[in-house]
Amino acid sequence: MRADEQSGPPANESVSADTRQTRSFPDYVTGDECLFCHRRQIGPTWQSNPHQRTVRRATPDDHAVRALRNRTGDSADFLMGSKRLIRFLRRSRQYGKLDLLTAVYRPPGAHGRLESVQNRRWDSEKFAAQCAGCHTTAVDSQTGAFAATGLDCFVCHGDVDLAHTNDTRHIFLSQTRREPRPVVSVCGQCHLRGGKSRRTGRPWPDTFLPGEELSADFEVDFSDAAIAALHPMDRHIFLNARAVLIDGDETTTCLSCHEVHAADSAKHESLNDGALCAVCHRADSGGGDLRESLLPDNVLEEHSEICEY
Amino acid sequence: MWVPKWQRDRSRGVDSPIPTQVVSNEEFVPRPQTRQQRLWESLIDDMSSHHAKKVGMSRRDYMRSSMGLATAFLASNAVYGPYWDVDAAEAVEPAATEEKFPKGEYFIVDVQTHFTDGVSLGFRNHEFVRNMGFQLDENPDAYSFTNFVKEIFFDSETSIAVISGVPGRETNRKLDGREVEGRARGGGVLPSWLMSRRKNELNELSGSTRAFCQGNCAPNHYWNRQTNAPDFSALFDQMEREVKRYGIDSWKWYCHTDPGRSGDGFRMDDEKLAYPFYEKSRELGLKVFSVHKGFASQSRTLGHFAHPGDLEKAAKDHPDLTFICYHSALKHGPNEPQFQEDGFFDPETGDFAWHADLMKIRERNPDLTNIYPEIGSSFGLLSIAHPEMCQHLIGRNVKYYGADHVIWGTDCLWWGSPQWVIDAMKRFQISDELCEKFGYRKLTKHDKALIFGLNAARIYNIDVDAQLKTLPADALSERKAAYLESGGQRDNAAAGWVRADV
Repeated sequence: MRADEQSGPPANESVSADTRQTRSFPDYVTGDECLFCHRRQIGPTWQSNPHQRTVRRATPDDHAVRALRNRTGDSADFLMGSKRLIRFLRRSRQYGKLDLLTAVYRPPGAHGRLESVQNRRWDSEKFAAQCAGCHTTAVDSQTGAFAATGLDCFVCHGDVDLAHTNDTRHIFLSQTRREPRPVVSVCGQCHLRGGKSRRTGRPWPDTFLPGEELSADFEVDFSDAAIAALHPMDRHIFLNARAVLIDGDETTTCLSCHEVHAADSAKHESLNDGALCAVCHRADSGGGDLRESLLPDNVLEEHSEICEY
Repeated sequence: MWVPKWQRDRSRGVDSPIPTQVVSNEEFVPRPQTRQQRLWESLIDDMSSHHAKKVGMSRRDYMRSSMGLATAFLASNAVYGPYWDVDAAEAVEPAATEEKFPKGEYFIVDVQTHFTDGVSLGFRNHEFVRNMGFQLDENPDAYSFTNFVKEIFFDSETSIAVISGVPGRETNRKLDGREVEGRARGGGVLPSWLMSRRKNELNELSGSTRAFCQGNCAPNHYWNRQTNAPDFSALFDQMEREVKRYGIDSWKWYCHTDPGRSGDGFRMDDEKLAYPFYEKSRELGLKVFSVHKGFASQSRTLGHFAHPGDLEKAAKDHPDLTFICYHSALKHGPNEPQFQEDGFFDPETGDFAWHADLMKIRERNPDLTNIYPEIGSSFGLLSIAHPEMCQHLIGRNVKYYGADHVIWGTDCLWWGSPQWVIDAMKRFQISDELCEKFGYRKLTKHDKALIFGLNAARIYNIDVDAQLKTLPADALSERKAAYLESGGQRDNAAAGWVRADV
């Protein structure tokens, strides 16, 4: 549709997700098409952005790739993970599928080590069942096939119409469209780890589109006990999501602190939210000191059952 | 503190018609002026004051004349080296410039021109456009076909334009199998159906051949997800449509994009994917393949497919096909951070990524004559931002591929009217030092005539002699004359923000 044929700016309400059961993802505009225009602002830095690198191409000079090749002679097409655990992936013969090697590489860098080498095998089911929803784009609920590796623009910004060039309110999470519920829902589709799709049972929501109610399909345990049991890094996400999605608090969202494109959270230092700050910072230190559980050694011990590290 | 560039220039008595420092578009902190930039600006100031007095003009009026532009180029040569062809006489005699660079001297075929389907893209207020003192409109009208005609034809010396494609794919059929037409086909900001429609409109209006057009269809655009293989039936359907119904004159490929969600980009030497496309295209009678190479940050995950390495085998295996390598494979533009990284450009060898790899292809294959480096954006950007690299770009293209293979393109109207790029090429020259050190040669007027249009004319089967007779008398020329007579001119006002302390 031409921009000048738009009848006006989009409505701000969240989109109803009632009819989602039978649908598939729309034929969205891919990130490479987006970058034709946004090459200057986004292109140069996006290659190194963590959201872009959820699945990244395996390069011969990568320590993990080198270790795998030298020790086993195997090669991989892609890598997943960085600080705690690196996994090896290869293209499947099927559309939108990756095989996951059972051997893993435990960083850091050249001092890391290859583990589970004996009896290693390429698992053709696991990535589609457990990882694809948050490491790739537009996963088909029925086949488990994804449309693109990494997180394409579509994951956060939705199916963007050309009309956005004249009115950025046509894009979710743009500077002019940051309503709290959609923002937290978009981030929560992956960062609320432990949630589960009611329809598919998978650890990510079924065919979720930006602008929709996350809770329509995604079941998350927001109880005090469950949240208290989380690692602080996860806990602050759950607390904020509960405040916005359940309690209707609209003062703070993920974007209040995190600049996703810039991979920067410097803004969080200006946040005026004692409870959320206290998840990570000692209240008696004027906000400066981290709690002991977040000191460097302990951060490395952060783990996730969902992600198996 | 930031101040508008015009404000600082006025307070300091500077009125340069070409940029003497990086100007911000408000999205980043302007960089301080370098020592060379300060010297350049100071020289412009001194020389223009002197010359303006000599010819009896106010300094401001003088800087807006061809003499003022010549002064800026003279000052630049004094600071950076002699890469602009400009004589001292041009600074005080307008006739010297007119004699040296007569309008219409070159037959210009621009193989890389664009407009959009009613959307603005943010290119026309790009930092380097502002650097040049241009204040271009940034709205849908500025990207429209109407403005395209004005800026490409009325505001510049361009004779013929090839409307060039951008990433995007058309939807050929609805779910019920019926073909869709017009805007319902989608296809992004400049779809094939629209390029074709506008080409025909322009040629009908002109009563001549003023426009050619490209088609966006590419090997990975239609994908069978059940078999995880190309849907050749749908692909060939679309190819036939673009050649037979749209009358496209070349394909325009972006190997590093995946609008059909095939799961990957594609290589031009992929025998299973690209070769059937070549075969089908040959059968349809279309043998020109224009392909974007370089500017790799335009892709999210597939930037490596913008490397020119795959051209070698494709061109060797298909000697009857013509491959035009757009942007001469310049990997990153001057405004990208990677451009500044150590090793991107090696002044000792003249190599820069991935242009050096494109040169090596020809070096390895002296008989490979069906690859043509195109210089759209690469020449314009480097001529302003890095004159030394610009000399290597052209020097090496000519050295390895020959002046009869370098193709003129500008990427306008992304950057406004292409006349500034045309002016830059007219004055562009390679220094004695680089010629001696790297085996380049000075560009002759004949070389420039080849680059500006005679090479592209050969590829697109344009009868230059016939066109030279026809075009000056066609309806478009009549309208251009009326436009100029009524005072029409390019927009050229200074804009942007600089630091007040420099």
